[in-house]
Amino acid sequence: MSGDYHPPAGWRWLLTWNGIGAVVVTVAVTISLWQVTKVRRSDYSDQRVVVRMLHWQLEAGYREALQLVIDDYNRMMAERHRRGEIPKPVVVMQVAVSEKIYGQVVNTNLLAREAPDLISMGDFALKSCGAQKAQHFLCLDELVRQPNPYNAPNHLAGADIDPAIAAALPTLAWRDTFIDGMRGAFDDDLQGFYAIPTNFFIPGRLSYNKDLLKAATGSEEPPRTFGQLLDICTKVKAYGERQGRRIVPIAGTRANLVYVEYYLLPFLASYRRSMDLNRDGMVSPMEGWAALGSGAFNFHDKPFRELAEASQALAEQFPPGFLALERDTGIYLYTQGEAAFHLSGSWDAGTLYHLTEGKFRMGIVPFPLPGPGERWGDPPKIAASEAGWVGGNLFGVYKYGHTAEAVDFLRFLTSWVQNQRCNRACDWGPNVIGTSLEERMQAFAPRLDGLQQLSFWAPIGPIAQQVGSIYRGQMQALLSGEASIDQVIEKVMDAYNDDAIGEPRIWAKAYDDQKTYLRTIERTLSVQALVARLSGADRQEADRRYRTLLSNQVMTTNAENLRLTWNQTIGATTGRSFPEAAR
Amino acid sequence: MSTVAGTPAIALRRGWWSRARFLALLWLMMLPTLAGLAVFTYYPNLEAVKYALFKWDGGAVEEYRGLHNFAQIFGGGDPRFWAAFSLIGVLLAANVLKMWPSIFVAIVLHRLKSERWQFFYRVMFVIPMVIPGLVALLLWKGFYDPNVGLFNKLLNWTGLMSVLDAFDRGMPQVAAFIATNLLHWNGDSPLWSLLLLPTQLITPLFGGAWGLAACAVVLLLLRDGLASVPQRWMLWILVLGLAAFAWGPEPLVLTIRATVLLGASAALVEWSHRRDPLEARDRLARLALWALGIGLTLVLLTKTWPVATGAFANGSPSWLGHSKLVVPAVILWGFPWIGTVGVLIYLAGLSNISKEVYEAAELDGIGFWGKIFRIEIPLILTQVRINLIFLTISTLSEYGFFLILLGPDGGPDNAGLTPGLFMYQKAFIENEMGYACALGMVMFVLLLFLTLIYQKHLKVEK
Repeated sequence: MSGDYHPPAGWRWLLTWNGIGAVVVTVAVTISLWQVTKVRRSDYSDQRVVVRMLHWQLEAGYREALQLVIDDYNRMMAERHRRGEIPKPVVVMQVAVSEKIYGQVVNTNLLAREAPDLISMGDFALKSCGAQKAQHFLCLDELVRQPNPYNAPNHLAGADIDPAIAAALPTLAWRDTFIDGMRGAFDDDLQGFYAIPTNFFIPGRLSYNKDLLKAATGSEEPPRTFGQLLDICTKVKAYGERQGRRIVPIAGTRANLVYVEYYLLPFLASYRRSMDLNRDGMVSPMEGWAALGSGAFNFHDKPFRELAEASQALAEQFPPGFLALERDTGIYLYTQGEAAFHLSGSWDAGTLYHLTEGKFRMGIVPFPLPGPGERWGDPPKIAASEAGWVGGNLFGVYKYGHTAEAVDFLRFLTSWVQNQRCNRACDWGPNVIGTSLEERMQAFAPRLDGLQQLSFWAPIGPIAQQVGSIYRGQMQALLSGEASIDQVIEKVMDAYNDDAIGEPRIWAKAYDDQKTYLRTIERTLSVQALVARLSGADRQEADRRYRTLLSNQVMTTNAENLRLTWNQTIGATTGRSFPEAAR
Repeated sequence: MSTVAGTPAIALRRGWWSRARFLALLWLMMLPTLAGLAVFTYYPNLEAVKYALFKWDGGAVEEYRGLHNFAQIFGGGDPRFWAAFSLIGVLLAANVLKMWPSIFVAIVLHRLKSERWQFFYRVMFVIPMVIPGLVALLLWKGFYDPNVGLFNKLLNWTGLMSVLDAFDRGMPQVAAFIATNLLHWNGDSPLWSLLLLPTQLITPLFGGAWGLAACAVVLLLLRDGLASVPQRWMLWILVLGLAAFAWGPEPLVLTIRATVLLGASAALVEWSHRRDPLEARDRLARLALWALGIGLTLVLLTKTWPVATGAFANGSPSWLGHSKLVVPAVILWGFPWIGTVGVLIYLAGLSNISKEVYEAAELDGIGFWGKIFRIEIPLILTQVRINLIFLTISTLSEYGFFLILLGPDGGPDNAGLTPGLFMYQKAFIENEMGYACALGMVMFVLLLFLTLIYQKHLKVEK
């Protein structure tokens, strides 16, 4: 530092570099403080009730569509306040947060007791355990048994609705106005409703560029079978080379790997009966592991090998290095006309239609399966039925916020008129009975015929732990062309047969988790018993919940059903004893 | 400063009451910061220590398990966690190389004669700090795009892609030749085998090229004589721990090999010191460096590129989508590796070197490079140590970088799975938060150990 420095006195100091810096910092801090207090004053004003609605849906169209409903509601509430029906006006505000940080935002807000009033039930840890969900979110059991007042005749006036449905809606219980009876929102652990579904998602559709198909193949007919899809892809590649343009057949990215699992059930359907031990129509994770351990399922067998080959053939149509590409890149490639096909679900349809408007004509078909006479077509492959799909985009009501106002808005949002309006505006699927999809979204209507199965086992998910991680890593290597099917199977089976991370650990953890879950249920039972004693008028409800939770606990047979499954399958065929020591 | 009784010195000379008031005032000023530190830094970390002993899923499941989590970690319950450290080893070695551009830039800036230009360049280096790390990460992800990324375009435009392709075809053949002819007995041609006998002894004697390198490091540590062993006990723990992987893994083979190699090294050292005490240190260091050079060269030629990837043939390799290219991509990230913080830290150290030292060096005839390696770098070892500690901490604990670039499984073939990412998997995918805390504690102890080694052995020789 140089010595003998004397800064100018008085206002002239502001003209020095230090002074300018200090002024800039002061102004910036002042503006920031003003912005923060402005938001705080707005959100926490005593003059009105502000209901905040948190979600992560940043897709094009959803926020605008939701805002249409919110604006209507806010106007209605302002009018009601003006007429003196409510003491303060209610204002709903939506807060959209990126999916990447959504979990952390919700967790932090819940722990800080400053959560928004309505929270989209995405992937955050504090909702994963039943007791935690009950701690933070309002139980809606009683509310969903009452009719939705916004389905009253005065709200349905002028709507293009089936008269029989219009007559039934005003008196139907809220839960019965949904196409799935709110099955998707039912919490099996807590035996109750803790969220409301607001629309209907259908995954697994293939969007295609009609104009590009016509140019490359001479026909804009979409592929109906897997073989036709591969054939078209070959022609599209050749077309691109003739034109000297970079054209990929399918705009696949790392985000599309999940669609490979769409083919799991059709290709592995022959295992359903042998793997579904309890005949509930689903192959649970532990049933899958039991089949693998007992030899009833083998990766080397024809079904899985065919699945792997078909997945490889599909991935070969993706752009080179697709594992490094994000979902946005896939959408970009497709909407810029550099890809003939795009794999996605109904949530992206609006975005795709919007971005391709004026560029090319778009069509949507289901994922094609191998047809008769084609490679992998024997035995015939049948797609899974979508009859069992349930409502999604669930919103829970934060227990310590403006619960009455939040519930009221949810009723408004899921009324017949608003539900159809909101979802049509963003090209999503409405989920109230009698509503219908936009014409161009008809391809997303659930297909009811097919194999009855909602889920099928694969070595993935939390129970699979490290074996699942290795499986996913190996599948990526397989689909990128780095590894062969035999190499993948070898590595996955090496992991599965490893005592440290494989079969013993998986079963021991599942057993341990069930025991822990039971202890959680017991704690919840204790709380319910206390609530039942103290609640007075709500005693009946508390008693009912106690009985259902107890029933739930009893049905898990103290986690011994796992031991029974082991003994009946792996134990019976291999003689190995249940791996308690691994715990 | 203090208004209690005039100047602080006066306050301290007055009675205990004045002293107490003065100290109380100081503590009061520090209290907000200490409270914030305690609540937002120490408390969460202590909670992590607590939850390491629990089965905890981040929610209501909270059951005391004692040392069960640690027993699982150290009892072979998670071999992938330990295997992930091999990637960390590569990244730490790369960090040592990646430090140098910042050092050289700092030296160049320091040597600028014009203070105005120095100031200008310092500001230019600081400005990029406003870019959030996530933005830089996503920019680089764009660079690595196989089809439209800048990186592949640059490689194609400069012709380096064809060089890489040639390496991709040639290096595996070199590796195979060395592995089958140099490092192992090949009885097809007796004369040929005799000529290669010295190299063919590497595998049986040292366990391979890595073993030779480990033995060279042992010799380097011993160069000052057996009496120096107690002073460097932390380095010995580290080196012998790593050497065990190279000399083993079978326990009996490891024991015999370690005994023979350590005994031979000790005997060589003692003999050299008794024979020629003055020159022994330099001779042993030269021998060790030669052996280290041979070992590392063999490792480089046999382990870095053993299999052809075929990724460069079409001119658009997928740097983040190919398991063999993920690690080079991670190492190359941030090129030319001139970090603002590093440059400023080194510059601060260089500014403490007085001009007389340079003048004396010039009088002694030391040139440009001599000043760098004999004056500047030795005198900024404190700053080098600080940066190395930061780099080590960030490398060992980093997971967000790999999560965003490669996904939660570490990409194809789990090539980018680091201990930090493994910890993330355990916490947020498998809901084993308590176990993840225990993993964090293990990594903390490792980091502490490495930091202590840097503190003890990487310092300016007064």
